Amino acid sequence: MKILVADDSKLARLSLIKSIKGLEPHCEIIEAENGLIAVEQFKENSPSIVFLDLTMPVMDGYEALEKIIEMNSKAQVVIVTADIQSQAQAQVIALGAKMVIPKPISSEKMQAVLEQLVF
Amino acid sequence: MLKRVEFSGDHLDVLRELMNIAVGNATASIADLLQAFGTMHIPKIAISDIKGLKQYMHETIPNESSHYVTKQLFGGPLGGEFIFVITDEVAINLGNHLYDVEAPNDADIYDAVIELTNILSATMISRLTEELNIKVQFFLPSTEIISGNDLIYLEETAEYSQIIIISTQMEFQNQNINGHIFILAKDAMIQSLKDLIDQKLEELYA
Amino acid sequence: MKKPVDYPNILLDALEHGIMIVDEAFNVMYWNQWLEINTGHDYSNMVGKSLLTFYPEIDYRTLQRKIRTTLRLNSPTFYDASLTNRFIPISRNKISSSLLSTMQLQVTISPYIIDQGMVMIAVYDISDLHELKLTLQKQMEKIAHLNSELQHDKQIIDDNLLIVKTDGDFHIIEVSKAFNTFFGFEKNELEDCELQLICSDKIPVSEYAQMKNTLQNGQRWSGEIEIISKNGQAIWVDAVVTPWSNNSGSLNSYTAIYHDITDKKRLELLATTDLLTKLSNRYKFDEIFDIMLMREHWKTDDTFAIVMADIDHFKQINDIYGHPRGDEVLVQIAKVLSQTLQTGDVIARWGGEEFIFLLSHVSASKAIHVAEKLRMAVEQLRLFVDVRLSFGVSLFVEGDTHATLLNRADTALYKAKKNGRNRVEIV
Repeated sequence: MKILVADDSKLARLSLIKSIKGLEPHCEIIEAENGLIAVEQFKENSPSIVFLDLTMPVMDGYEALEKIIEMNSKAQVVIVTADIQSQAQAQVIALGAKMVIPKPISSEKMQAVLEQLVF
Repeated sequence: MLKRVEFSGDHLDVLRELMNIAVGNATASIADLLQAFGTMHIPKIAISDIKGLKQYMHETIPNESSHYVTKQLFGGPLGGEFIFVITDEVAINLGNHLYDVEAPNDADIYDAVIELTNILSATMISRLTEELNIKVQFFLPSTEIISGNDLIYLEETAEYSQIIIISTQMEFQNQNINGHIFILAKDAMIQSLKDLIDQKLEELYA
Repeated sequence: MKKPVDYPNILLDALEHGIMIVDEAFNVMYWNQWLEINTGHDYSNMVGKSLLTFYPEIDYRTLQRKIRTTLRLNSPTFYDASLTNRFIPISRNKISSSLLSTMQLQVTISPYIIDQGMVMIAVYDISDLHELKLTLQKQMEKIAHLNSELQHDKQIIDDNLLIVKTDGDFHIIEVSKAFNTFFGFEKNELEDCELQLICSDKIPVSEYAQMKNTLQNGQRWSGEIEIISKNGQAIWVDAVVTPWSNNSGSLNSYTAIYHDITDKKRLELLATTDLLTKLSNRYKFDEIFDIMLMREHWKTDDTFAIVMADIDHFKQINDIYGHPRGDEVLVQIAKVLSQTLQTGDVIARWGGEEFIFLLSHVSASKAIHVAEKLRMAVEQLRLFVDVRLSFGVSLFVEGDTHATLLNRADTALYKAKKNGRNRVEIV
């Protein structure tokens, strides 16, 4: 299974990868540090799950989300964001994200997410 | 002469991400407590001296209007100063929004500014310190009106030799409320911040 | 060692500020002794009741929001302590100063038991501090007002008065806006220039030195000087220069205030000039003559002389060629006489066809020599008609007056006429 993790923060990527690997040790992780790289990696690797941050340089998460959904409307995109206002969450769900989870993400939360999306 | 604390790219990355989360929390708290939906801005982090801070504020804050400048100190394993700056026009909008009156009086405005600062500092600093596994104490904030953008009095800050500047912007379009946030820590506190981040990084790589 | 159980209560009562515990509905759970004493409400009276019962006038919407924020964020919130008190009013007993009738309170709302919605409200009396702040504020306002008035006055001065400030070496430090505008200089253009640079060289070096001397002695100097504007025009000004001392008493700057007297100078010139020949008139000559007489210590070989000159047969020139041509002759002769004269010597038109001279620092022979030079200069003049001058010289001696000296010159002139004209005689 391939999982794409897109966040400009190394800390954010590391903590996501750490909790994913803890649950799914054999999955292949692809990293992207901005929205543009995330879209390119999505095109090349067709990952099963995409973890996408919203505030990123070059191309932000909103635009990347739109481009990914354009390529594959069934793409499983999980928005991982610090913006936890309900209005912001509703906005990305409307754009086609499967889920929105607030930062920082706990192992329990990650388990729930993976269970829902993988099985 | 104090030894300069050097931050690596990783340190800055951690701090930026933690602040990002802190800003997210603050925005959400305000949405919840003050019924205002905000746009988040990515925090900027810089390490400078007092002159650099003065310069930075000149570049960030417009010189044309008067500003309500609220300063709140926090202390503990990590201590520093939280500064929230809004223009007088925005302060009136804020007074309007919180007190529901057409023309809020000076006391309404001051209290509204203090309240917003309170929420911002409490959520941002608490979130940051929670991530770093420490507790801090907040002191009484005070507000003053300053015309222009000279918010730093050089003679009052001589003891700061190295300053970490964390700055971001708060924007609530529907209420016409936006302001600048500065979190400042100096010398020894920068070292303890660095140590705390090191611990955080160790946890992550473990 | 474990603390005895009743310590907290004793401690809370010993505090020098008010402590209460309330819930989100403003019900009072605790009320310490400071509050009992200062509000007049007993613990037993307050506990279990709502704050609303005792203090209906305070803004409960704000209080509720603050309590909610405190509980939600698990962090203290505050009332602004800089303006009017917005929490419960507590009367104040201070009589010696009466700015505040109720206490100015610093109010902190801290989380107490969050899941039961309880907060602790601490009130601190900061009236003295606040009073001091108000007094200071008033003083600051007064200062700001005075400052703005001063600023305004300064602006008026800058816009309207011609002022130059120099350092102790007469290098220009600052120039008023009005000065720059009046003399056509750019802002800052004159900074660091030497003051003498903008003064006309018509002012004798000796007078300049005298001015410097007066000022360096710490005295004010006033007088008339000519300033050269940016486009080279000379403008007469009346100057008052004041020396300034620094704290240690040494002179470190001068301030000059100028006043344009061009018009006055023009009138003065009109009153003292002969319109036809542009020479000084009799009035001006008399003035200079009197000044010379007042000077002392003239010696026989270093004194001054009066020379009177009259055009020979001038009436004929007027009669034959007409008055306009006669005037032309007067102008030409005036011109050649002034050109021949040494600087420092004075020439004036005395009347009709008469000229008068004052020669300083001369002996008898020197005076005759000068008169002879003047006579020859006219003799060599090529006009439509030949003109000649007769000269009468008198030398100042001890006891001479204005009248005696003029009389002798007149007599000498008469003698020259009698002895054949176109010659010099001395009496």
